[in-house]
Amino acid sequence: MSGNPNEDSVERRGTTRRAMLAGAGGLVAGGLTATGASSAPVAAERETPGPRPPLRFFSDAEAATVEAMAERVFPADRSGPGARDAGVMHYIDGRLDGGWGRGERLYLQGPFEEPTDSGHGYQLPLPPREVYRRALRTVDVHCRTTHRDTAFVDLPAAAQDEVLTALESGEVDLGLAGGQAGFTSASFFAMFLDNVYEGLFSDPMHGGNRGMIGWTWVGFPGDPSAYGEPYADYVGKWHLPYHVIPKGVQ
Amino acid sequence: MALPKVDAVCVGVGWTGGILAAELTKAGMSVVGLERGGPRGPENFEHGHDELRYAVDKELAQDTSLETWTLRHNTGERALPIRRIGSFAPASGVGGSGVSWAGQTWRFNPRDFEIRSRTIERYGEQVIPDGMSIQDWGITYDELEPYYDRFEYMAGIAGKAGNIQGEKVLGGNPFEGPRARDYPVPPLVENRAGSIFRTAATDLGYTPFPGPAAALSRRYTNPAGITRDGCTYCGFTGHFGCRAGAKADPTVTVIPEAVRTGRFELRTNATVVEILHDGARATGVRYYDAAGRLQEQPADVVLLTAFTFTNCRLLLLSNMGEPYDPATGAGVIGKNYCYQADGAAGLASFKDEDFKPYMAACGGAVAVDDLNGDNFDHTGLGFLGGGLVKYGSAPTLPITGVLVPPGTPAWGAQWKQAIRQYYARSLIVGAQGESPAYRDHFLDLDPTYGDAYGLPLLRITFDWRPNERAMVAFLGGKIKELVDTMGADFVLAGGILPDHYDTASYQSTHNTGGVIMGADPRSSAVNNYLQMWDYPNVFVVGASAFPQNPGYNPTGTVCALAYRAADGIVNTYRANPGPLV
Repeated sequence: MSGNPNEDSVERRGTTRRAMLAGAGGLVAGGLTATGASSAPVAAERETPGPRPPLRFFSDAEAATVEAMAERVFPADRSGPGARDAGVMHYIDGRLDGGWGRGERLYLQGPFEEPTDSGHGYQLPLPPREVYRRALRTVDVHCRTTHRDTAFVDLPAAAQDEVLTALESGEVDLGLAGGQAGFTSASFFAMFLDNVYEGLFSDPMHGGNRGMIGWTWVGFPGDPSAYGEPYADYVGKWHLPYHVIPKGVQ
Repeated sequence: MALPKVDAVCVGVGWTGGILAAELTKAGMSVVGLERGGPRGPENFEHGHDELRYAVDKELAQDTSLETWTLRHNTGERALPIRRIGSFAPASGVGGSGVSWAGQTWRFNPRDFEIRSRTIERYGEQVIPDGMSIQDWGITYDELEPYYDRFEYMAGIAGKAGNIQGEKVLGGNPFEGPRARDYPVPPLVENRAGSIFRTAATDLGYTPFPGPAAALSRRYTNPAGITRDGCTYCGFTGHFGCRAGAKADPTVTVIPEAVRTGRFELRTNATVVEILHDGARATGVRYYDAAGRLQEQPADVVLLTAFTFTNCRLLLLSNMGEPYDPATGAGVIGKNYCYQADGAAGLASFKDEDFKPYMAACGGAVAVDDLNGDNFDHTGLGFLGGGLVKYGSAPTLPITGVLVPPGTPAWGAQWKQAIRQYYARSLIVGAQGESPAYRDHFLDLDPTYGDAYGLPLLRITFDWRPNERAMVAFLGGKIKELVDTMGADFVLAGGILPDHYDTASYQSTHNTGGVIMGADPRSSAVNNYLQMWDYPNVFVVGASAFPQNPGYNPTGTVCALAYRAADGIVNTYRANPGPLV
């Protein structure tokens, strides 16, 4: 049968582990002990960014909103570049124009019913790109209503964070949920965060992670096959440092 | 128009279909394999180190737009479709989930096969909660041992024995049943985080050992003469295919064994929709071929070798066997659906470590079995069962592997700093929890939703129960002791299952039951050769046969059962067709 792809502890899928740790956190007193990154990975050689790729799905205004939203998730600061530099918006634009955004491999047969309890996952009759279009329009209306006709991109960072927090807590009405287990702005925000994480950490062939910004940030070397499978020389010699400039699939 | 008749037809060509095809064709039988997905092999993964494609989008999994499952948490609820791959990811394509598995290859404990009788013997029948329908397998560990051995030597499993013919062996699992001999290849190299887990476990009085793995620790030639190279520790493990052929998968082992006999014909993009039968005998199968034409393949023996769900669904669609009715407890097809009660876990993070999490092999783990099954006294604990506690190699890849402790925002400057701090400096300890059977957890056909061919989807009725909640909480407490012992700069642990079973987030592809084995046709669908009681020329091979799911990864036992079914067919049934038990 299957195996457990990436068994329980090995690679629990991102959302699962986050949920698990958050759940476990409810049982354990105490919080994060801030330690700071003590051994930063080597700085990537910053590639000179090429011309911005053309947009495939987003309008200019949608693209600007998504780019600004992603930048608040992974902001450029003194410690390093941010989501804008990494091309995350362009990744998401391609993602929504591609199979995933169009609902490929998504079971879209009715009847469509809102769940009455948790655990049923995505139940909307919409492919993800339609969810984005609707949510981004709502975000724009929300910003203009609450901030004197100001678009998200023109808000100061603190106000942008307030908008994202409102989305994250499910407070912005997307008109898609009737009850507690429905698709709220929190559901959209979780989808958006997953896409940002993908745009930061997927292989650069997908349009994000430009200049290996995401991989360099966490110290992930990319595809070992691109270096001729060097790991076997390090396995068992765990004291040896392994720092390389990441490479994607060749 | 029917195609020419063959000796046997396999519905699904993954591990079980591949094993049966190899064994039957080597014995001179003609076998046709019908695989719903396309052809696949290591060459398809030459550019396959793409986390988005395989780990996020799960390209190797079944396409849920064509066929999925529905889920309800109890019989009073309306089931809703699982609209995209989530909690589990059965594969489609040649090699099946045997291509995308992560490679942890366990034997079940002797107690697991006799769970009901041993529980009653030790604690009395009153400890089994109302509605829990655990039952014995109709086979013992010792009867299955030779078949475990055959699978491990065919696949080249890397591990360390803990019990050879009754003699305890230092360094292995002291709780395992006696095995005829050691593993064919030595364990994988233990990584730094695994050593930290080993030390903590030893300090607490447990007995840690290397988890048995399907990635070769060195070049290996198996008994069929097939040679494969050792693992490169590339870190692209479960959900990925292996470009090096180092991970045991059917496309580099049993399928080539079958093909070279000249008696195995593999047909891909062939979706079986019905088993044809006449009286107490199956006559063949009906399937849609790659061009969408309906075909009939007659066969003397029909082997259902698809994933758990498909095995059960095809019997229900074909009106074979009596469907299980939870109201009366009568019937057997669909009975005792189980899963895996994960949910206990711990995180330990170290300022001054670099675990190089991306250097990882399929199945590599350090485990303790002290808290699994009935390896510890349950008197007064208020639950049955336990789980394998282990350190795997998480997190390995960054999209799915970056993690932050609770209390950290999921975005923003603080999150940005935290993912850098925690990615390579953290280890996660997890538990593979037992999933007992309940009278009203079962599989049947959904009354509302259908697949691309207009046939009803399979409906799953399942949720977490108080027994598993207590068990997971117990395991979480034990894991907390383990991570507390590690001297980490930050630790967090606990055990909790969500309010309801969640179909959306990946847990494991350890779905079991529905066509369960046993000693009595009134309470089981197949005998201990996986042969249907009602149709002696039909064998239903897979985790569909598990009466409940123990606290180990299932593939080792699935494949051992496949070798046993093959043994029954080749050495007994062929000369004397009829019930083997």
